[in-house]
Amino acid sequence: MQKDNVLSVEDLSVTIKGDKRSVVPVQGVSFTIPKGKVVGMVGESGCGKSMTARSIMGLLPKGGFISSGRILFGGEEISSYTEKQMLAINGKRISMIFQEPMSSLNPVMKVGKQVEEVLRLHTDMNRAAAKKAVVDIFAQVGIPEPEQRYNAYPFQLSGGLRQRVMIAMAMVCNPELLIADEPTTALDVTIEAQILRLMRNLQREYGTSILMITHNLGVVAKICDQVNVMYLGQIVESCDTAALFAHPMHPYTKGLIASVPRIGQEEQRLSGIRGTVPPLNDLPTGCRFSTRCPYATDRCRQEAPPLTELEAGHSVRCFFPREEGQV
Amino acid sequence: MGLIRKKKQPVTQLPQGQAAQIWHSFRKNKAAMIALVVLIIIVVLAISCGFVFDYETDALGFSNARLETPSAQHWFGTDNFGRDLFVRVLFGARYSLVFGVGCALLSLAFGCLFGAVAAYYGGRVDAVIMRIVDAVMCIPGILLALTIVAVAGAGFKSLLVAITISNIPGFTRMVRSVVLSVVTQDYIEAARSCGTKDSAIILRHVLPNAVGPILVNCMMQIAGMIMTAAGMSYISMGVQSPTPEWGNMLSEGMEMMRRFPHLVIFPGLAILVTALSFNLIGDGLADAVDPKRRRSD
Repeated sequence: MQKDNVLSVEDLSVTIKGDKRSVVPVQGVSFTIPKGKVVGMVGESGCGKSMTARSIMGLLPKGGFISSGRILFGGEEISSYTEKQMLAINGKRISMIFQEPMSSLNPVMKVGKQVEEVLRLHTDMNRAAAKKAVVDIFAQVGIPEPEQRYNAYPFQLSGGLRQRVMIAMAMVCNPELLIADEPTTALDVTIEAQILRLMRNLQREYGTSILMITHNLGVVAKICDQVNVMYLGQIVESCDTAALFAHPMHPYTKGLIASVPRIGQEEQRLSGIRGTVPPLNDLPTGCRFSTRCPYATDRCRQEAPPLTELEAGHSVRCFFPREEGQV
Repeated sequence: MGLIRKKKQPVTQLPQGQAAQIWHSFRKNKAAMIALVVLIIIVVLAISCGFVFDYETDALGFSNARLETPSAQHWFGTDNFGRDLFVRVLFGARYSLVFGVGCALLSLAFGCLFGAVAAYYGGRVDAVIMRIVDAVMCIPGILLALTIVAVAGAGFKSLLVAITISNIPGFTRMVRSVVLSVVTQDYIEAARSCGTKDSAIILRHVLPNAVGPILVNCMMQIAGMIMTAAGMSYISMGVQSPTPEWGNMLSEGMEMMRRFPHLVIFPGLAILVTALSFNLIGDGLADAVDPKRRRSD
């Protein structure tokens, strides 16, 4: 079991020390990424999904640190690695795609050179071989005229092409794990579909595992095998993608699914989740979702529910998961 | 017509290297190119005038030809001591250029040091440096320079020091903001996520992106420094008469400018043209260093 997981995060908590007080954007998060699978991480802005990804890469912002738990990557405990040790892993065995393809590439460097830099950092390839490899991967990620694009600057490429360059940069060392932090959020829908298809194909071809961070359930439905739903730094529901859409159990998940507009559905109003996410420094006691949950009881407001596995591979953090007619 | 397809245009044919590209784009800016040519002429004249003319014989020693208007013999005319204005303006260029470029380089060196340290370490170091800068910035630059000259005594060196010191706070603030804006960019984090070392990030990602804006700012400051130097000399707080400095020459000519306007027109024009050249070059560079504003056509 342990061996089949590329990544396993165990009871991870991240603390960010501020000037006056600290906040804990990620609390007690555990999940695994099986080899060759795409695992989704869904939640609203500020729910800690990006922080979780950053802690895997060792790229927490200033003042941020892993306050408890551990991260195992290929059996090694990378959460205790030094910055230097992480440099050897980042880009080679774990790589990341960022949300903004516009600003994630150095504007004064040729895109080919930027990808080549990663390759030369982690391999012994000489300049000519590296250049050839870059042109090859450009072709593979669907960049037309890869030889010419090698010499292009980021501002000369469209958003979709830039994201393809980012993917090429992330995939060029053939990593075991790819972390995609909202890779399609800044792109329009047609390009989004192309990019997702490309990621799916590359994933199948190379057997790369992907951690897909997104707030878009459509993306989850298209690409993910398993999903973790996060709310306020905790995982509230964790299951297979099919199960998530077929019978979501947590009221938050149900709310998320209900708030996706559907064409052809005779409904006057689009339902949303009432209220807003409480700030991290003013967390509700008891269940963290209790302030917004339409079915919250006094018990929910006082006692924090544990994450319990109700069906095989389907865990929920709720006291009343099977309540009928919710949302 | 529709059947004949043009051969596919190559994606890009930009020249190689960052410097080559900046030049490629700079060349298209006519005003900046003219300014560059003018500035080169001024620099060449300032350097060569020492070899071509002998100040003692060519500028002085026309005591029988005082206050002459421009003629074939004295291109810019002569002043009340019979000194040839053309030769004096040429020799004056040396001072102005040394003040402009020298003060800019010195202020830039200190500004880069303080600004980069403040931006890189942040927190308390940043706060201390920036509060000092804020405090110094409260004093008008010219007043600060005047005070320094008043303490150190008027002269070439003390003026150089005074202008440099009064410009360090501005440079510090500028370098800090440029470095900060680069360091917080996503591509820096992206590079880090690829396992790039700190040294490589600074050399290959931070510096190339920071150099442009800093250079542009520096160019713009040079014009201001030349004018400050001339202004300080004009109020005899800088280079002292009879040294041929443009500000000096202006103040000497002031008394007679009603009847002999050429005494102030030529030194004034010299200041104007030099300062304007630096400004126009700065403008051209501003467009050229920004890859987004650069045109590939």
